[in-house]
Amino acid sequence: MDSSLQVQPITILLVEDNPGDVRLIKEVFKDEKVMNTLIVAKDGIEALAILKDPSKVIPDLILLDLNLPRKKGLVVLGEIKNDPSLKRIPVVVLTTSSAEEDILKSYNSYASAYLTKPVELDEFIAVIQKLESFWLSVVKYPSKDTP
Amino acid sequence: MKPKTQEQLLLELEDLRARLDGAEDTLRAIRSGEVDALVVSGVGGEQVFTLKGADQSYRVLIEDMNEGALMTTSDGVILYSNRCFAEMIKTPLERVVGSMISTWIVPDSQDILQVLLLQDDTETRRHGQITLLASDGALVPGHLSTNILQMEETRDLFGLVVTDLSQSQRNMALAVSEKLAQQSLAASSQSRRALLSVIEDQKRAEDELRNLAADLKRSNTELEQFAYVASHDLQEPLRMISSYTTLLEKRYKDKLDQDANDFIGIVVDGANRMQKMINALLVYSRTTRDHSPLQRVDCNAVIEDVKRNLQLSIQESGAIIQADPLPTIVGYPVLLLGLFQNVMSNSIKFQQGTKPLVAITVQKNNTHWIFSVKDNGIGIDPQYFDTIFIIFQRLHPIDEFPGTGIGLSICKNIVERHGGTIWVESEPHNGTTLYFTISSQLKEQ
Repeated sequence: MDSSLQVQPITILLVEDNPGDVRLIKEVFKDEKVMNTLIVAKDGIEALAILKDPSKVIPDLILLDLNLPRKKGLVVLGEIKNDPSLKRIPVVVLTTSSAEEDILKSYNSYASAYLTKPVELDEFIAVIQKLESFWLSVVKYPSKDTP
Repeated sequence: MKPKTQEQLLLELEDLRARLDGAEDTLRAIRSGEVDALVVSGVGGEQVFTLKGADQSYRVLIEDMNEGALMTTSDGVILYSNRCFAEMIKTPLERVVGSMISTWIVPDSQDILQVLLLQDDTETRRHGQITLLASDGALVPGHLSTNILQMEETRDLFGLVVTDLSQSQRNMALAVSEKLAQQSLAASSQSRRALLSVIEDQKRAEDELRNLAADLKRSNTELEQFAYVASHDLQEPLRMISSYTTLLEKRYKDKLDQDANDFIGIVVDGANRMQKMINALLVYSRTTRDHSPLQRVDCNAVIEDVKRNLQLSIQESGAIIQADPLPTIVGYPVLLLGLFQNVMSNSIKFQQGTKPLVAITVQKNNTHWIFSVKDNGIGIDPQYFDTIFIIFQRLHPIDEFPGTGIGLSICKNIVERHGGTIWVESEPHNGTTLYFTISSQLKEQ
């Protein structure tokens, strides 16, 4: 097996206001025994505060819900992609909305992927598994030392 | 020459002083503007010199006034025009002078013009309503007054003043309604009060129309908001119910008894059905807010698309689909596909073990295409002919014929958006024929 495909522990920032979803994602990661650090932000303002705090680790991947209180997901996405120190972080939109408008706006704001949360648990698990295998083991990230 | 006496010299001096005083008086009068003209005796008789200053004030008055001012011959040749008239007819001043006044007046007003320019000394001032024709084809309602200028010349000249009436009208709509009101008034000889009430009625009708349009826009916006709420906010709690009961089942299946497992199954099933209904509701609301343009749609191609989409159920049931050659009509392509697909899938679905036969035909009357889709299925009791088009109304238990019960209400919505109606002819166990009409008067956008 190619060494680059080995699972390396990465840091994921999950921006999600629904505690049920946060728990569900944690449970799926736990069942799949994925080695990662999950940071959770309950809304857009908290997410940006974490990302801009120099004492915090910059995440390798951001999972972003769109329907967030205080600051909407699309606004958060726009601010991340306009910040030179953050724009390289892949952002995966993970939302309930399947509205064409939301999909289009997300990609126009440089989202790396758009996923809808499936209702059925098995499908949801499948989505998280695919997310893991692609973003955690296939994708190559810049080294942490890169300025 | 005899030398002048002292007495003569004094008289001469006196005369010169008087003439100097007179000249000084004249100069002062000219300077202060008291004199308009000087009459100077010359060889050919007396000559009048008008003073520039005095003439200019009249000239400026006429040049700059807000009415059109013209001088024409009795034949109607324009000898002089001020700037205002040239602007009314949107023509350079140099092209106006020398032209015929009739050039700038619509054919309907020519008779009035002729009367106004009549050489009749008994009535020197006349006026009337005319419509000017500007060089760009614009029509300018105007008031024209003429008077014969009494000049000491051989031919008569006319002085014309033209007032632009369109400027005084507040807006075009009011002008039109006023004109309409005036016409109806002239016919019925009603009072001024009636004229006002006609205008008010029209205004009220316009207001009502505006309010209705605003209401419609508001309810459309609300529907769009509802669709978003349904697609997002309603699904989240549902997803939680379904996901966590499944998680419960996964983790604790071995620790629970059969009843507990059954209950979990029922909760999951209910959540899944609700999810399908929410999706169906979304499709339903989309059929009313689809803003895509009206296009030419080949119904034969639509049937082929439906067959492809229903491929699996056609294969499983062994359905045979026969369609007459169908027309190309004007409609909303996505909606028409949805319409045919819903109707045809019903024909395939509502069967009792027999191989489905679906026949599609079309006829045309003066205003509509009339489509019919006939099947050999279980049929419908006539008492339910209306119920089936109501949202979420089902005639059969869900385990017998699955579905949300929204299909035909979506069809009704689509048909109505195409200016048509939908109805059914059937009897139990004897097949169903579903008819729907599509307006043939729709125009491509």
